[in-house]
Amino acid sequence: MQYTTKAQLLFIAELNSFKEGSEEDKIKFGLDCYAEHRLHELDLSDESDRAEQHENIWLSRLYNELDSAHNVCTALERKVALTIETISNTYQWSVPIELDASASMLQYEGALLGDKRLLAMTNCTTEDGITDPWGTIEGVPRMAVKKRFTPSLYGSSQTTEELLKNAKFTPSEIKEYKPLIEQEEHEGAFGLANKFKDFIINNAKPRETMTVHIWNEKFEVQCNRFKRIGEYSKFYKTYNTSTKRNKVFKNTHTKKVADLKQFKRYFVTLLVHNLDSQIADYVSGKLADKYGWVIPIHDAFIVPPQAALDCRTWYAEKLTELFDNRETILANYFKSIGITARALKEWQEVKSSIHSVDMFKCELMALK
Amino acid sequence: MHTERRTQLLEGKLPLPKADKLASMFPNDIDNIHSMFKSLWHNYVGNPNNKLSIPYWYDMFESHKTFTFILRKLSEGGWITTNIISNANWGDMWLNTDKLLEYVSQEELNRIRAEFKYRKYTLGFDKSTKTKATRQNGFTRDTGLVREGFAKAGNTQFGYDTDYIKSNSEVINRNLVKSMEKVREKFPEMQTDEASYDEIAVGVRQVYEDSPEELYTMGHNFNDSRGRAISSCLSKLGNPISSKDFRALLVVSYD
Repeated sequence: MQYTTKAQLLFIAELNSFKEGSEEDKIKFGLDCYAEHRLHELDLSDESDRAEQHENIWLSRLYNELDSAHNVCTALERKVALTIETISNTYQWSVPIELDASASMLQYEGALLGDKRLLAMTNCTTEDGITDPWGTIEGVPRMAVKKRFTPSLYGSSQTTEELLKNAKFTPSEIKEYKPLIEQEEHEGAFGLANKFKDFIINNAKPRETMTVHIWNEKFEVQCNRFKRIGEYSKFYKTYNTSTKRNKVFKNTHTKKVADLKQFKRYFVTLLVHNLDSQIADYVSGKLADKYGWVIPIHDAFIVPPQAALDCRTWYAEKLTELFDNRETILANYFKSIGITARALKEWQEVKSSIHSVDMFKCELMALK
Repeated sequence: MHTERRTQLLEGKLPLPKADKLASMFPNDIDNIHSMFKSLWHNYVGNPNNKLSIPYWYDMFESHKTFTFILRKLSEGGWITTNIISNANWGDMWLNTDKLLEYVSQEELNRIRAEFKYRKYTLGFDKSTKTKATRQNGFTRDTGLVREGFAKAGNTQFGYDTDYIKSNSEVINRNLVKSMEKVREKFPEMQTDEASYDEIAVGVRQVYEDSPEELYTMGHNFNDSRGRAISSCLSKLGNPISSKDFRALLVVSYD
């Protein structure tokens, strides 16, 4: 089976909620879904189901285009056609597919820290098959893991109880999940990501305007958090039509000053989002040059199916490059945000929680 | 000039009068002058009674002298009215209907407004060239970030599968109305628009449905302060980034 077909089937499997197994399992699942033209059963009078209808639209369009390209109409014909390839490599597919990074925040932190657990759970390595990063804490539903860790990895200071309560989990569910989550915080991969976040927030020394150095870029950032400290009046003198003369009036404004303490929380996403944007920019440029078609959405790429192999390859190469240069990247970044040797002890503590990977070459499934 | 401006107005555009001359006179503020005049027009199209805040635009300009000069010239030319109420500590400005009626009839103006209402929220076919425009704290400037790949992606040409738009029209309408709430938060001028969101959502969806051959682009890319992409198409309804329905309807163009 050629890669374009595999890419289409992988995406069909993704839309049909495939979560775990090998790449071959995922392709096979995608083939079964295609053969049966499997769609989600949705009640379109329900708002949350309506929000999922796009998956059925996309699936239905993919199924129809595959049927038409292979000139098939039964489940058996579909399976045979896709297994015994008949479509040219240069076929111009009209329905694009989406390649999406698995929990990109964890993926980038995994590459930066060289932690094999983070790299495995975000499918940068797939020795144990494709995994769902949010389904890795036994006894805790994936949605609870996602709602608990996503905000805190992005810098939120809310507690486990608050985050799960916001996500509408019941008090008894929170009581059940909390010890398992706390154990993960202390010993697990999420815990490492959390410690890394805390290290940056605790040790960054922000200024109102500063130049930061991240990988291949140096650029200026400004404080984006402000405290209100009162009001002030300002006089304006400008042209008034009816009197045909300039006229003065006073206007009251809120007086704000930079809140550098709150601004510290910006420096985790600054690092990770800048890195993912450098890679997304690189991959988008290459795809635009070669295929003339790409729609990047932060850590995802919508591409024609025939571009999927290149997209995944270029993305994986860049993540490998990031891993290879991780020490320099972190050293330059820490220096530019004012983290000095004083934080060395705390940094050693973060490093002691890393489960180091010996060799790393990012795999294609990093874009699932 | 009269014919040219009439043609532009009939197409829903109102370019800044004497733009070239103003650009050579005020190179540092010409982008602000264009933005302010565009806002006056967009506000007018939304509702002819809409007004712009003078303090807001005064503070946006690098030179307050330039700001006052522009208000005086536009006012003397009949394009705008400025109203300063010292006792109320306030000043605002608006576009004059009488000036527009020099170029088009009231009936034509009504039609322009009705069409514009949809066009404003519908994707276009705009060229993307910006690589260094970074948005930070409400301003756009060069911070050192360069995103050439995102700029190229902004020129990706795509269409929508209109058969599927038609067969899923009810769901798409309802999801679009919901998404308009988010657009409204980003673009406050919508809050004073007289047209209901339902009406605009249905209208925009219909525009896409009725245009099976139409191609769109995402247009200019702006960087957020970290370097991630903020596409200009985010202000349009049915863009493939924020609308998952439309993402699922994308058609690759090989032109």
